[in-house]
Amino acid sequence: MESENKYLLPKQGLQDLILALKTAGYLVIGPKIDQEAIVYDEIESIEDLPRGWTDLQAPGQYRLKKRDDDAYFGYVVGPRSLKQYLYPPRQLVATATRDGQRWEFEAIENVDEKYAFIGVRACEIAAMRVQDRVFLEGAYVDPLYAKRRESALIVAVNCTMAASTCFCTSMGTGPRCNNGFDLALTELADAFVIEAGSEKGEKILRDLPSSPVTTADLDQEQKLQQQAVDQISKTMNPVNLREDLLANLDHDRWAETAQRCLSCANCTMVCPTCFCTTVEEVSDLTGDNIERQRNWDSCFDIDFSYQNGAIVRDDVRSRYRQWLTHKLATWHDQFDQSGCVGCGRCITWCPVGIDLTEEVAAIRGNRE
Amino acid sequence: MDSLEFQNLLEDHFFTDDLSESLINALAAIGRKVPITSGSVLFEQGSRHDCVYVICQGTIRLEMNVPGRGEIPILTIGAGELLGFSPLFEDQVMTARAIALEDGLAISIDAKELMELCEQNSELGYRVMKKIAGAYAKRLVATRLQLLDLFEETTTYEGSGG
Amino acid sequence: MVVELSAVKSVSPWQTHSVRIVSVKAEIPGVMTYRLKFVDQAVGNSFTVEPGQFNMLYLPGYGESAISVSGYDPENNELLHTVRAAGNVTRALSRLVVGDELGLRGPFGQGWPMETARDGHLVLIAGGLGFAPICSAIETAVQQSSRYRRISILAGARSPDQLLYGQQYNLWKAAGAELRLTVDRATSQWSGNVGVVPLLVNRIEISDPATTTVMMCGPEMMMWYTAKAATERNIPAENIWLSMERNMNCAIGHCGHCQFGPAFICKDGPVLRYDKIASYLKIKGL
Repeated sequence: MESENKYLLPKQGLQDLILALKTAGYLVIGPKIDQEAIVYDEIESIEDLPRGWTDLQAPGQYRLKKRDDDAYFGYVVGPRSLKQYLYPPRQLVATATRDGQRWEFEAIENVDEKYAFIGVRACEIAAMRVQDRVFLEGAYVDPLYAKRRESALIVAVNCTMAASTCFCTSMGTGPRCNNGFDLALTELADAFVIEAGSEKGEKILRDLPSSPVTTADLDQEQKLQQQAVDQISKTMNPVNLREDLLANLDHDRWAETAQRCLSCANCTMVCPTCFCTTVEEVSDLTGDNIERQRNWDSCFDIDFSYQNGAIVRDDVRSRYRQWLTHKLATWHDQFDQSGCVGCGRCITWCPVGIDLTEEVAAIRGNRE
Repeated sequence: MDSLEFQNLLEDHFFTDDLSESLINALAAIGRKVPITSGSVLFEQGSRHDCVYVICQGTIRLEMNVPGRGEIPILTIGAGELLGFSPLFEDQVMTARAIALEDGLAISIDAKELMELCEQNSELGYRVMKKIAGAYAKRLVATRLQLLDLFEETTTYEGSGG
Repeated sequence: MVVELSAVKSVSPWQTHSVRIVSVKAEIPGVMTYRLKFVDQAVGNSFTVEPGQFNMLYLPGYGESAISVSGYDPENNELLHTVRAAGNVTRALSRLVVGDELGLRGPFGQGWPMETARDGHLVLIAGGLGFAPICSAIETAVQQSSRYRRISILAGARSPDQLLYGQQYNLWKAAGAELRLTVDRATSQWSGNVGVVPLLVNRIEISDPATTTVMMCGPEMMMWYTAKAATERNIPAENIWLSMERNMNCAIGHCGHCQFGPAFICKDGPVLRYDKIASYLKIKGL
């Protein structure tokens, strides 16, 4: 066990961490209860965290419930993910300003926010890396994502429990955070096990009131992390998933699912990897100052495939198929990996409880 | 007509699969090689006509007279295609006028003789009819595509809000 | 090449450049060809474009429209774009006059494989407004006609008055290209071919299908049947290229709009190889 990198941080040490991050100029984003859900939001102190709360998740269901203990991170994942901040729902990308008969065009290249994220789960780190591939590693780099991403600091939390909707073990993304973080925490009964994953993390860790870990602490950490693994009941076999779906683009199941799907776009909004957007023109009253605003969009939006006066995906069947096959199949063609990290958000937040793992099983023909 | 030359013409322009020698000879016996001169009319709309054609070279325009609009070109036929096969099935009254757009070459076959040959020799009849059906099926698809008016432009979606 | 790529990356893909309308030519009713020149000469000097690529033309307050490049004059850094005034942006563009300025981002996408087609028979097929992206390939090919064994141009439109680029036909023919035109609906004055574009494929001589390259742009259904006609003439599917269209919003593969199966039309296309997309062309609502 890599005990040499691990330290014990008292629970109140979290407050020191938050303060240290704020002092270092970070906008600290962490879990917070808002509208009866645990969401990422700006946090001021340890008091903002959902201490003693957990979330109960099932297809189409999300409920908060009091825990028996005072755990800070005793929940799974909420509707928001890091994309809310790294690739925000509304983003100014360019401006056009009239200057007499001419126009001045400017692309927005700078962002001020420097984020520190607390409570990031393994599947969320994986999702961030999926978006890295889209926005940083292709022919074109999104300069705003790049700036936010480069300056971001990740304080990960290893899951010690799982929801009925979780299937990260199938997708190979969790529940343990192996890399991609600056600091990682595992919440024990009375303290955190903390480890650094980067120089930035090490530097912060040095100033925290930590102490050496004992074998007992590590045993407890191991047990709790295993508890999360053991609680995961949902599976989706990723082997040949791409081929299985692309060979079944005319499967009857698409039409059947379309009978249930509301095409509401919830799954795409909560999905931590979905990246579709539309740029809109926002003009002031004079028409001389135009802001080009990039907004999250969704392949479930009927206008999304509008072209030459017609809608290419003009029924729910084709839109659901587009979403699922993009996420699980053609994403491989485009980015050499799956677009799904197994976080289960699309299952939980679907108002009618459509479960993509069930859809895949049905299309593969192994209906229960 | 010389049956080897006829066979070559047929194979190049219509029958890509092999016909047995005896079938080729039978067709050659009733077929004629006819040169086509640019601007010549092969048949007139409404006229009776006794020949069917396989175009080997050149293009032929089919046009129909629409009262008040004149002669409207409806289809251009080129090498490898059939022309004027109505005499085989109809009352030999042509539904369109065929006019050559350039100098060319065709095989003409007397419709009555071809039908008699098909009646007598069911294998030949099957092969010929299959070929004709295939040619008509192709032309039907092309006509449907024409009907779809694929180039009709509709409003283009651009930028914000359509 | 690596240096160039990193230079591209250092500029925001959202940076729009000012271009000025040098001339406007009415092609057919509702369709204009704009000759555009970069206002900033330095930007113009560093600009290159391949036939088949497209630019995002930007009318502030209206938005952007993806328009294929129909011609490029590298000496004067002037771009030709043929545009139908049909939507929000293009209607606003149609109200501009010579001397007016607009925005341009680009070039984007993968163009025609002019190099791959070298030494062979080049068959360029256009339908309707799909003539615009094919025009850039034609211009490039006829300017370097010795590079190709033979150049055949097949173009179709709804009716004779809808055929684009009529004034260029003689130049193309003078350069040795074979030109065949067809219309769906003819008038009594029309002396050309009548019938759908796929039928034209059967009219040309193809002496060596293996070294024949087909490039086409037009309505998807036209391309589907035309590609089929080409394969029936033994032209390998790998030698057939289609310029596809989907609603392009960002042009850089980031917005998700223009996906067609595994392809982002803006980034992997608009020119795609037939064998790679044939199976997806059959799927309704993809």
